[in-house]
Amino acid sequence: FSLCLYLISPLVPEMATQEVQLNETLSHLKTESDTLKTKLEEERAKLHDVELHQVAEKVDGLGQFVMKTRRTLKGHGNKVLCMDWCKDKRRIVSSSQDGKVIVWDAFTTNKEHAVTMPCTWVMACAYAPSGCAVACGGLDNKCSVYPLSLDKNENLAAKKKSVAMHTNYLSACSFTNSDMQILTSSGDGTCALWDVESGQLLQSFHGHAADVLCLDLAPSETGNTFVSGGCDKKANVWDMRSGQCIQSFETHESDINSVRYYPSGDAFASGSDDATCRLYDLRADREVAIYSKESIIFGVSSVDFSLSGRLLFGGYNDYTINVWDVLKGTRVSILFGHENRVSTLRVSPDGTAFCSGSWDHTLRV
Amino acid sequence: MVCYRLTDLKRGRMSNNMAKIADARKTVEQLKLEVNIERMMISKAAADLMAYCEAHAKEDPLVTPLASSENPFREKKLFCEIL
Repeated sequence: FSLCLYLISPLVPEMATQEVQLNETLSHLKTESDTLKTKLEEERAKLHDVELHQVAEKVDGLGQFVMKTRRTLKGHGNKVLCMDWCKDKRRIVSSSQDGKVIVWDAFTTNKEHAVTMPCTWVMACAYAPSGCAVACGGLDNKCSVYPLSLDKNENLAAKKKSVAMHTNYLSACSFTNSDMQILTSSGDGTCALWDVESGQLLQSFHGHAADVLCLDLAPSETGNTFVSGGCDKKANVWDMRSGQCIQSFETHESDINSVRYYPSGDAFASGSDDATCRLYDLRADREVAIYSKESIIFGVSSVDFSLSGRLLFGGYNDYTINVWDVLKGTRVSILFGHENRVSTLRVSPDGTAFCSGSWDHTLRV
Repeated sequence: MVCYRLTDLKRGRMSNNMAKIADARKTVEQLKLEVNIERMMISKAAADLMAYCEAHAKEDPLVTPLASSENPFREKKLFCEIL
């Protein structure tokens, strides 16, 4: 008993002062960061001279909207989780909870390729810009690339290349402007840029405090940035070369499930479990519009813009798709058809149509 | 008789505090970067967004609908010829 006291006593005073100093430094830093946060809000508020929808009053209203389902793609055995268009404007890749990744011809509704992944819940899939490969991943914590063979009999799984490795599920993936690099986001809270050929990690992006659920690359004209959204309710804009977070937006009240750049690259939209979609302007550095209605209480799983950026399509967990006038902030149309929640939605590369995927196992164009 | 070295426990807590301080410093540096970026008034930013929409409205098939003959997804009528 007395031996213990001997071990404890001479060291306590010195360590106690060190500990007190550390705690003081910590609380100084906390105060400094709180002050900076307030300053950030003040700076942003200075620009708030007018609302987007006020500026948009002089714009013509949109005409009546009639959008019909033109194609229904059936074939998945379980919930469709993700889809992407090929640059040829007709092919689509989709992935599902049952582990299958299917490539479709949307004009004919034929299935052109099918791959069975070794894991279930394939939450992410993407088409390569060349149209010659697809990337996918999910609960296997990896992103794998499958080159698409013209030979229908060839086993695609044999040529599979594992590119990305995360320490938690893969939530989203996207090729950059070429087939050579892939950007991924993960439940481990990070995003990462990988070289496809070597599988090497080129850059990693740390800053989210929780799972990252979505990402979108800036349109190529505007340079090397991308936006990500996560369970920490934040949308972060990153510099792909330095790994630095350039801007951060935290106005959503719940997980951000989807982010998509406005076609000019100067803004992006986000969809969240808080049942709203929001528009953030990058040059004004703030939220400029909220798309919501009291009657809409279900979360938004997926958002995308029409070609001109005038329309914002949102897929919701109440099985519907709401179409919003981006400038005026009003809802233009509500589309029914899916028999379960809409999980993914993308406008085709030439803007002639959009495809939605749902937990009802189908995709609609 | 179990004797925990209180110093070891305190050292553990200290390195945890050091990690928290490193994180807090990063947060402060990040916030300083974000506070100092250049910003534009909403009136100007909104005007630019509107201008983009207007400039591209005609090319947007979902805003300015295509003629049915040009819609690649319209139902194709199939004609069968019996030869």
